[in-house]
Formats: sequence, C-alpha cells, structure tokens
Amino acid sequence: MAVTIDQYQPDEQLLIRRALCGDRAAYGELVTRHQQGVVNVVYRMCGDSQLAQEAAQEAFLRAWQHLDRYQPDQPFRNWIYRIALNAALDALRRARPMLSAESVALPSQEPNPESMLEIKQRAEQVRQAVLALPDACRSVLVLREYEAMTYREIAAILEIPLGTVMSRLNYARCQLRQSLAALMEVG
Amino acid sequence: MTEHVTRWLNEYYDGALTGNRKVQVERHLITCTTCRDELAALTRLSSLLQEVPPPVLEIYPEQFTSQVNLRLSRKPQEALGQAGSISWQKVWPYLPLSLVGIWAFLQAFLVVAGLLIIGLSWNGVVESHPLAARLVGESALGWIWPALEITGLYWLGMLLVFLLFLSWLVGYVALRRGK
Repeated sequence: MAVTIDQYQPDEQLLIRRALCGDRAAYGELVTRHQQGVVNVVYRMCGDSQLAQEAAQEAFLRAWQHLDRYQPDQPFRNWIYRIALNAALDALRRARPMLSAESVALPSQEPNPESMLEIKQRAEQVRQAVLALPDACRSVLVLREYEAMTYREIAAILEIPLGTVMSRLNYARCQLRQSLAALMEVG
Repeated sequence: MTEHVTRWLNEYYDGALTGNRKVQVERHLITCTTCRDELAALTRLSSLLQEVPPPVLEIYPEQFTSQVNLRLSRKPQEALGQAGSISWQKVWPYLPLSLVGIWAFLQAFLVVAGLLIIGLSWNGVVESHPLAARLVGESALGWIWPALEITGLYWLGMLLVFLLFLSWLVGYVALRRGK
C-alpha cells in the first residue's frame, strides 16, 4: 500500500535532525517506517527476496552515510527510494551472473497446492517480463504500478523531466503488453 | 467519429489528465470501442502486475531494523572521515586554558627578569660585569630604562593574550550560533 507523502512529514524532519546528530534510535525509527516500501521497491526491481533484503539494508546504510546531503524540502521517502533504486540495480548487477529463472523462486506464502501452480507460473512469467525491461523504464513502472506514485513524484525521485516519465512508462507498458500478450488474452 | 485518444490513455488511466483534455478523452471513450479496448488492456496489465506477490522477508521487520542499526557507523558525518574537524572541536574549549598558561608564564618571566635587573644594579654588578653592562646599556637612566622596556613588553604580551582570548570568544559564539 502506498503511503501518502504528508503522513510522516512533521516529526520525520525531527527524526532526521536527531539522526544527523548521531541518534541511531531516531534513524531506526525512520528505517522501521520506510522499510516495507523500500523492500518492496527493491524487490520489484530485482525480483529476488533475499537480494531485495540485502539491497534494502544497503540502501539504508548509504542513506545514513550521506544523511547530510538530504534536502529537507523533499519528502524523505523520495530520497530513500532513489537510493533504494540505485542499490537494487547495483545488487542486480553483482548478482545477475548467479541468478537464473530456476534459482529465483517466487515467495511462497501458502502451502503450494496444485490449484496454485498455474497462478504461480503466471506470476513468474510476469515477474520475468518486468525484469526484462530496461532499468530506466522498470524504475518508472515499479514506482507507478507498485507504489502508486504520481508522475511528478516519480520525476522528482528519478530526477528526470515529466515527459520522460510518461514516455518511459508508455514504453514499459507497450513492451509488457507484447511479452505478456498470451496472458492478457487469457484474462 | 473524432480522432483516437490512445496517446492520452496512459495519463488518463493514471489520473494525470485534467481539464479539457480529460473531458475530451471521456467523451471519446463513450463512442470509441478501440480506445475503450486500449483502456481495458491497461487495466488488465495492471491486474497482471499485481499478481506477482509482494516479497516475503526471511526476517521480521524488527530484526531488519536491528541488522541495519548494527551495521551503522558512528555518526553520519563521521563515517565520511571528518575526524580532523572532530578533534579540533575537542581541543577548542581548552584554548582559554592555554592562553592563561601563556599569560602566567609571561608574567612570571617578566617579574623575575625585572627583579633580577634591579637587584643586580643595586649591588653594583652591572657596572663591574661586562655582560650585565651590555644588557643594561650605558644610559644615564641606569637600570630604570631596561625596567621600563620590560614593563612595555609585559603590557604588549598582555595585550596579545587578551586579543587571542577575544578572538577565541568570537569564534566560540559563532560556532554555537552556527550549530
């Protein structure tokens, strides 16, 4: 579920100021608040739970190290998401030779009865199609489809013009519609 | 039939279209099955994307936070290697103490030196000893002139110490306000 920008803003700035003074507990609170979103974004980018966990932790560590560069006029979420996207791409680059369709299984939340097999296969197909998108387009798609962000928010996070957001999103959707044509018709 | 609105459908679907353009798209969609199908395809694609389940972490959220906390370096800025400025900040409050030390040393030195010259002059050592005579000089004022010189040096030293203390005070106040 997407979190609205203003939901955490007022005391979030206080937490950031405390963290800047070395208060780890305050930073821990920030981690707790944004962990789900960061892990989700990273997972959608790299498609592997284990990798996503590591990359998300890496993102929070990078954010801590460069906390003095954070601009208070933008939501902390935007800033941490930008770091998370980069961390996800770095993790993916490092791990890609080792990852394969077989080694990366979808997270199983239920026992896996036979009736679930088809759904799981479909989800796997979709996941592979998303992973096959170019990094730049995938970033826009993930923020729009999974984080329900507006075009302006995406543009701010990725530091790209609004028009580029639209064109990348359009391209990503066209590509997905082609690669998932069979599934689209079935549905 | 009006022109197709497929180029605006992404924005319309994402709720980014406003004003006349939005009205135009909505009107067109009522009559055009091709554009309606396109819109339905976007909806279908979003549904498919949501079929990929969210990640399931092997650890609890609290553990995640703890693990991050364990890997954090001391302070954010310290992690980037600003150790030099930190040590200066530690030294900064002790600067007045060193100034007091300099002042005490100057005072002791000048008092001792003054007393020594006065004592030597009274005992007639200055006249009999060539080195002492050279130090005091052959002034008509005798030992008074060197004593005045020493007093002048004393006040000069005091002024210097005072100025150093003043600059420290200004710097300290500026630092506090900056924080």
